[in-house]
Amino acid sequence: MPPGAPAEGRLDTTAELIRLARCGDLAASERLVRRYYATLRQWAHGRLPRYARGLSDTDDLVQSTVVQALKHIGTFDAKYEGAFLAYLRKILLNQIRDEVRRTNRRPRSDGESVDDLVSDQPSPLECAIGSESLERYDRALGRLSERHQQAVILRVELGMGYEAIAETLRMSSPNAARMCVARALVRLAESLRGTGGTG
Amino acid sequence: MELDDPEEGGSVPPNARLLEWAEAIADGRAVDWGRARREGLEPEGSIAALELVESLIQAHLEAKRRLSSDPSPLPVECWGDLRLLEKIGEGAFGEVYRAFDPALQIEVALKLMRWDEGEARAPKRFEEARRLARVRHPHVVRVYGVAHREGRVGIWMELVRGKTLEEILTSEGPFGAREAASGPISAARSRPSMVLD
Repeated sequence: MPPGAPAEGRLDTTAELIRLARCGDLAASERLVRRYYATLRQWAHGRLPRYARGLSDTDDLVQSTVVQALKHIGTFDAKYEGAFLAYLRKILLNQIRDEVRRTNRRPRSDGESVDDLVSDQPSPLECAIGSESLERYDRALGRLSERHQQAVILRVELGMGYEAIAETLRMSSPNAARMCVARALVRLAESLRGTGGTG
Repeated sequence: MELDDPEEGGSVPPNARLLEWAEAIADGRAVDWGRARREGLEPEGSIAALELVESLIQAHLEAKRRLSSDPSPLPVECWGDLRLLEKIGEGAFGEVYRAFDPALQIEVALKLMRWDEGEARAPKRFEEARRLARVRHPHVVRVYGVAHREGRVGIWMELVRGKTLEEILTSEGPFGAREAASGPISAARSRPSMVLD
């Protein structure tokens, strides 16, 4: 089962669970949380600096994200699962940025400079491609259409298969999803060129 | 069914070669970037940008591989700011949870009314909480708060650790008349309206 894909079949779709959660159905909220918890942890784990990657820090962020998402769920109108995933991701990344900013402001008792700490302990994604490239990716992704952002998030960040992407984005076939992902990647490359440093 | 890729409707179609390479990297197939550069047909910087996209995909795969050995714990549910830790009771009214109040920094018992009770019964539940909050007695739990959130009314109160009445009756047998009456009568004297209403 690819990450982000529902484990209980399509009877209780994300849109239906969101509708119930908006009416105050705690069981629906719980199912939403359970459905996306592993995905949120995966995102958080990849993005958190090493010093904040302990289980409790990651879980605190994920829980805080879920609380925020459920708090504002009354204003969120998910037409399909991909939109809800993008909504969760956005909240999570904001939480991570806030956490890193808070850490930067916090005085350290051991005399170590927080700037050193942050720069010496990058996240796994920063380790793999560098913080500058990751920032450029985030900026470039933010300039794409919502649909293309979701296609990139599902394929690149969550590693979903085309069949699951087609279901998640309500597309006609896995091949349609594959073409959408490819076009989204071309648009992402164009957007990256706009952020400089590739030419 | 929605349009498969509505954003592409009014846009300039992507360069065919770039699209072909993008398909390859999306599928995880290798692209001969040296050859692509030698052909030199694409807009300046496009190949380097696609190579960066490929690196981003590899980086995400690598981060995912590292996480795969890290099992996910059970998720924690929330009601407002309260973190639900464990369901400790259930009845026709709803459920009772052991929960954590981050503002007070203590564990509490949260009585969550059934969500289908609707708005109409909320004032009655608030009144129930207010009456209980006015009672001060060692045999009556302290009420910390009441709220209507996410469609449900919840009352959170002192968490009393110990055996339930059912467990005591099972292990020690029925109470005597004096024992059974002493607690409730004593509590009622401290706030008669609690039992008279």
